[in-house]
Amino acid sequence: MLIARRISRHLTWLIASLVLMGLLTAWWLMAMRTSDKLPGGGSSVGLTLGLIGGLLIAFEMALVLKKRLRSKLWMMFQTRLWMKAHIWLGLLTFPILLLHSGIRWGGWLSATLLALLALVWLSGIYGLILQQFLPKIMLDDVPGEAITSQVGHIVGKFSSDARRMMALHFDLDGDEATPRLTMPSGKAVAEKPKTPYISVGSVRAHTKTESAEPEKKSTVSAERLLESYVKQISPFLEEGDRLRTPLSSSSRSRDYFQTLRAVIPTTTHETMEALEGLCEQRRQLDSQARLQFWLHNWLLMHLPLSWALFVLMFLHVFVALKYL
Amino acid sequence: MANNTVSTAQTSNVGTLTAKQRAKRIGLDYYRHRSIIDRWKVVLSWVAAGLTFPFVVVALLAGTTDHAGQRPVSRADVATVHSIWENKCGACHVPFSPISDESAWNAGWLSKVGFHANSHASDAKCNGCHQGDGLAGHHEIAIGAENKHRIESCAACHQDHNGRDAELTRMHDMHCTNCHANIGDFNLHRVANVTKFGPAKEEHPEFKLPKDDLGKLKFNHGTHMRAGMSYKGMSRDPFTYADIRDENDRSRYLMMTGVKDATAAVQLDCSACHQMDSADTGFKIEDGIPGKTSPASPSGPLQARGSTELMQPIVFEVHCRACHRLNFDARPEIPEIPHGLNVDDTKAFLFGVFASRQKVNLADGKPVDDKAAAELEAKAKDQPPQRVFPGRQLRALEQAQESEIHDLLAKQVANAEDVLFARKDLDKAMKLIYPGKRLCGECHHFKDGAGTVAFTDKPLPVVPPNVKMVWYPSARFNHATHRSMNCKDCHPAAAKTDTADEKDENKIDIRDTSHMVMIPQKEVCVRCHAAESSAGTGGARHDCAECHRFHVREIPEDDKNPFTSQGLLQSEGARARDPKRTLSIDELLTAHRDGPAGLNAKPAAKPAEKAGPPQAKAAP
Repeated sequence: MLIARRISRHLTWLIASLVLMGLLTAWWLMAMRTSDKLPGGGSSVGLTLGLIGGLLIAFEMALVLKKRLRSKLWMMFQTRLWMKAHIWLGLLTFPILLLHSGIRWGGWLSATLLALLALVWLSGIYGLILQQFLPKIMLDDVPGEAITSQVGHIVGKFSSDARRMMALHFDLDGDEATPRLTMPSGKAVAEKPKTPYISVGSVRAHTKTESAEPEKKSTVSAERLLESYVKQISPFLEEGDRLRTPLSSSSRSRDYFQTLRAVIPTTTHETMEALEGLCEQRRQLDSQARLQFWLHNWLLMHLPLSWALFVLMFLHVFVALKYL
Repeated sequence: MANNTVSTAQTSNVGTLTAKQRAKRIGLDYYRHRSIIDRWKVVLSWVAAGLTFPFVVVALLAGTTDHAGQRPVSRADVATVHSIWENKCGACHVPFSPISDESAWNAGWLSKVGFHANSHASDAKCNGCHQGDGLAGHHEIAIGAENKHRIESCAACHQDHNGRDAELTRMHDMHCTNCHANIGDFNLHRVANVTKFGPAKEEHPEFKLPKDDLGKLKFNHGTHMRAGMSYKGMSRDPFTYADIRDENDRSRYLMMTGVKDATAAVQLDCSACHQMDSADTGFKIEDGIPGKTSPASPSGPLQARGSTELMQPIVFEVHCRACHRLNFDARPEIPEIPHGLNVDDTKAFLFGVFASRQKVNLADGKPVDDKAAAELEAKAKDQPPQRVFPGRQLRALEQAQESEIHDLLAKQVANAEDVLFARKDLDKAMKLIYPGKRLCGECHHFKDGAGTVAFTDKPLPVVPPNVKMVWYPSARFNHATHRSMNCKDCHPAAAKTDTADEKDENKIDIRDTSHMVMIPQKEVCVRCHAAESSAGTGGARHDCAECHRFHVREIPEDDKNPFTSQGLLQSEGARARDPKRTLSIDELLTAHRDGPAGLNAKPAAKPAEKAGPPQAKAAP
């Protein structure tokens, strides 16, 4: 959620959070002045702070339910509003519970809780900072952004589409692919996909050339496209930038295809351009994957530690009440 | 639905893909598929939640395990005195019952909305070890039953878990000012409000010192602080170390004052008499204090290893006798009279002295040393020899002689008593018996019927001096921590009593200034013990617990109870604080295992064993 660029939309939350924290801190300081020591969790202000902090943690954890459960009860809350509350109340959690602790580590249970809380809080802030600029970068650099969970699926489609397009020009069924010197029949390319994700765009792209005059080129030139497909394009579409190939770089890829265009028949140019487009999409998906990793990797710490914190919080409440 | 997706190769310029085109790349059930990060989030969440299980197990069992160093739920170490129960929460805590009145359940908003827990439940566990009637709160007695609910639990004041070195008796002023800031709420109008210790009267009232020292001992501090105890216009020469008759005393004072020349005038300072440790008297243990010590009690009436809270008592043999010897006869063979005898004992002592002297003289064949003895001898010669019949006649003779001797001795005793008690004019007597002021009337008052007289010409019982030991009955003071200070800064009145200087406008009778109270008032203390001020004063500790003890005066004075009739002195060593039954080592170890609360529930294995006298309890 963008805050830095849309601070006006968060102004209410910001002020409310500051006021609430200020009031609670003032109460805590007054208690400290009265008792001449740092009020702990057993004091009146400490217990109140603990209660508020516990409720805040419970609310923060409720985001999981909000995301998981799609009942009307949960849907009646706007996600944006919920996220605002999650962020701003989450920011309050640590200082409130730090005051609740009396700014002491205490025993190892409370020390563990405080450490977990600090890690969860810091990881959340880290994630919040990343979310301020990474989505913008992604928006600019990855216009073909896909749903992260579908990247693998889309990459598979890249390969299958590329193969089908190449199959228009070459016989790819045998052990060694050999170029067809004639245009493939429309029937060959019009066969229906076996999966629900089968694309039809390539058919359209190809049907544009269906009426084109067959152009004879030397087989040597056509083989260059096949060779490029087999050695460079197909592996890159499957593996992405894990391979060291010119196609993983946008500029080098452009040069590569520019060179290729000069040595292949013009009838295959459109296919080559489609392949170049696939490679571009593949690069973008690679970029997206990298950005997505940085955009979400903090959750690998934030969420598990939140669960641990949540469980131990109940234990802390139990033992604290038992030995109050 | 076959055409609901679009080829990824629809166009070479991916940047021109519309959102719809991009969306069509995605299957409708995409949400059923998780990214790798999503999958790891779930896995790690389960792992993290699972890792908390050992915490849960250990924390739930921690209160009963003996694992040293395990401190799962404690915020800090307990104080050293409670460290034996470091890992036994139940030794002090009652589960789900707050141990302190300060907890939110009792003192906070929760109690106002109906949540109230009994914080006194844990008091029984405290009392398992801290037994004794002395633990009854003074507030319970003072504020009455109607305010009993305001009595705090033990742990409200004595808050533990603040580290090994924390002082459990060093509580915050809040615990006192809760009531004392508005003490009128309890109808205790004789007690002033206290908010803190400071110079303002509204903050802390003046000390309740008596206007006059009611002690009955004639003493002038100023005179004794002057070199040679002399002053302008005095007829005698200054008192020198050489004038101290007893060689041991002389060397003792030379050593104590660091003077080498015995002809120098004796210069005493405060510490010559006001001492904190028995060793400061200068007496060697092997020599002991004359008449006061024995091998079994080398320090005599003085306390070895004094606690320093109170000065050692002033003891005649230690602090007075060197100069004020009680010789009633100038002849060296006549011993001085022991200090502290009553009238009858004085007579008996004198009788014994002269009888012994008569016996010695008769045994040596020497005449008795006075006219009465000669008369007795002559009278015996004039009497016809009597026939001695066994039994009766001899007995009659002996009785007659004994009667004569008794009369003689009685006369001598009467003469001695005249010397001892007939002191109508002290100054005149002083000149006669100099050097060394001495004898009863010099320092003591006498009981004359229902009243008191300063001097007497007949044997009268001495009024007990009642030198006040405790001037701050509700507070305490430690001289040892103030030993770097000049005594006169806090006790200026002691110096003012020296009125030898004729220019002194506050002329005071130098012979007896004992009625003066020389204990400092609050104005002296607040110069250091108050909040730091811009004037450079204050800064020393000034919390209530610095001077006051809560459980000291909790026992009301009761004339019928010999142990509480001096309620001012009821401190840790008081017998009234003895537990109802003492513990054996086994019982203590049982308490270690089960917690001290178990002691209350168990019947006594042995008959109740009362502790010894208060002196025996006054262990350092």
